[in-house]
Amino acid sequence: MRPNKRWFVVLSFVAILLVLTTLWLIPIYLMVKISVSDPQDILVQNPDFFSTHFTSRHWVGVLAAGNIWPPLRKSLTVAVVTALFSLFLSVPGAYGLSRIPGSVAHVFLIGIFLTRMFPEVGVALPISVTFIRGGLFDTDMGLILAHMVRVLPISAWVLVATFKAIPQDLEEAAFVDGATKVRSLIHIVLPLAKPGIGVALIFSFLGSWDEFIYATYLCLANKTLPLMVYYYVSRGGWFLSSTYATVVTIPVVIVTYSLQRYIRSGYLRGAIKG
Amino acid sequence: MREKLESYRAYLFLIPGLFFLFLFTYLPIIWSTWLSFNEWNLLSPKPVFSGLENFVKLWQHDVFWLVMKNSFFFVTVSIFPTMFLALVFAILIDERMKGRVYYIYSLFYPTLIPMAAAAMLWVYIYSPNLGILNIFLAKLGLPKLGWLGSSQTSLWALIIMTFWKNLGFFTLIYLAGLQNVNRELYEAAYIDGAGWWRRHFSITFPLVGPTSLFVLVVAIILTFRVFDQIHLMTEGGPGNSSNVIVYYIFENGFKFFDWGRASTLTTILVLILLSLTLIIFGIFGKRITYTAD
Repeated sequence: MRPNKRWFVVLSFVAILLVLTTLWLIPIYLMVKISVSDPQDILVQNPDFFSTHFTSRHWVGVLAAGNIWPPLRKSLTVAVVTALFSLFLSVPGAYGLSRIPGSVAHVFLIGIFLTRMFPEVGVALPISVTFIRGGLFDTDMGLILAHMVRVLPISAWVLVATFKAIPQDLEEAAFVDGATKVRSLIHIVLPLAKPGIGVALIFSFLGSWDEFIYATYLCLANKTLPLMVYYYVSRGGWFLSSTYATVVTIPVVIVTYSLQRYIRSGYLRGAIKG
Repeated sequence: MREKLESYRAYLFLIPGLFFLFLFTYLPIIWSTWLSFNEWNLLSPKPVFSGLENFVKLWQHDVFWLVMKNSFFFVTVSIFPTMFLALVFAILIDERMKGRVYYIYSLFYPTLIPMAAAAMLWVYIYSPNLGILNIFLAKLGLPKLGWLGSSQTSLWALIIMTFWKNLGFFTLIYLAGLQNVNRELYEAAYIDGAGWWRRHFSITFPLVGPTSLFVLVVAIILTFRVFDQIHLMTEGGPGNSSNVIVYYIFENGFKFFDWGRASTLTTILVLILLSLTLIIFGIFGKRITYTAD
């Protein structure tokens, strides 16, 4: 390819990508914009794309009124505990799956995959009924267990691919040295599996943080943040709902950013083949 | 002997996870499937076996057919553009230009942000007087649309929003799939004088076949299961115009308290997804056996 033609191609790729990514970013720009804009810039016919009058009073109002802290606490607790608990089950499970004969593991994996076909709304009904009877209604624990139902298959799926990528020779060397299976898992496999565990942790946290259906059934007085956003959206208050929506988005940005070195597309690669 | 013992120990690791899955996933699934053959609603507060009655009643119900039509429409209209664009953008991003991370994140962030926040954003974007879409249409001199509030556009509005939310996810999967394509093939083709289009048409498209199959199945399952945005943005309305199967399950179970019918709908959806998956793998699975490892 002649050099000038190549430049033209590269430039057009960059142009296409820039246009699309800019379009994709508009919604989140609007969300943050509304939360810091004066009503005179928003609540008018045909508001401008860029605000000129800014205010912190929606934020001050939301943070000072104090309604936001209990849901924030609840959502954070539930998401963190869900992510940790599900690792507790999915790490040994996925490790086991990666160390049994491939054809048997395949059956288990398909069994896990099949559960993804069931709509959560359908499964949520029996689970919620059982939890309500079991006294788990409106408790953190009830929601954590329900969220694990949602998160566990995804976490297991990511981890099986991770463990499969770790050569078994390393472990066999440890067995020769007299290590048990549990010891080799903790001292040899887990350190190597850190990136995959990081991805599983992110997915589990986000899966719980974002969750809506179980929260609707299992929460009454102690609502989660997504339920609060919904509450304000359904009441039609743009400033409150955009502020809440921004709050609910911030931890996602922090978690993703702090663990981003783990989300290289390479880690999804195994998941596709697996 | 020793090997057998080792693999038997490996099974022990599975027990806690499987126990949890059985208790909280498989058991509810079995129960829900059993319930789909029972009458269980406000008039009959205990489940009573009724055979196929729920299925027959749904068959005769107009709303059921509208909901099925909406669901299939939603899936067919949204997955093919999503898959195609996701592949195109994955190829563009894979060219390793400057700003790669920026492109990935701008496309992928909608997948990460909570649906409640995303729904709030789009309710604003679609709002008839304040929303930028109608302002944009007005600037072009076109008539304003009702978007979420009109039965003509509500389903489209949800499809567009879902497209925005899912594109990055599938782009990332394709990007991962592209890493499996042997780079040497491109170099060989380049040396043989193949241009950019030619290289991707003859190498990339065939070799991302397995990834596409995976994406197609995941996209079908994901799109048939859309619920959150519908619950948050339109509640299936106006007049059931944006009601899809999972929202209809929710409506029956938690608004009309007809748990038998909700379970029947769940079973129907699972049967649809199972048969589509089997058909897809049956048709394409055997043909796409080569990977570029």
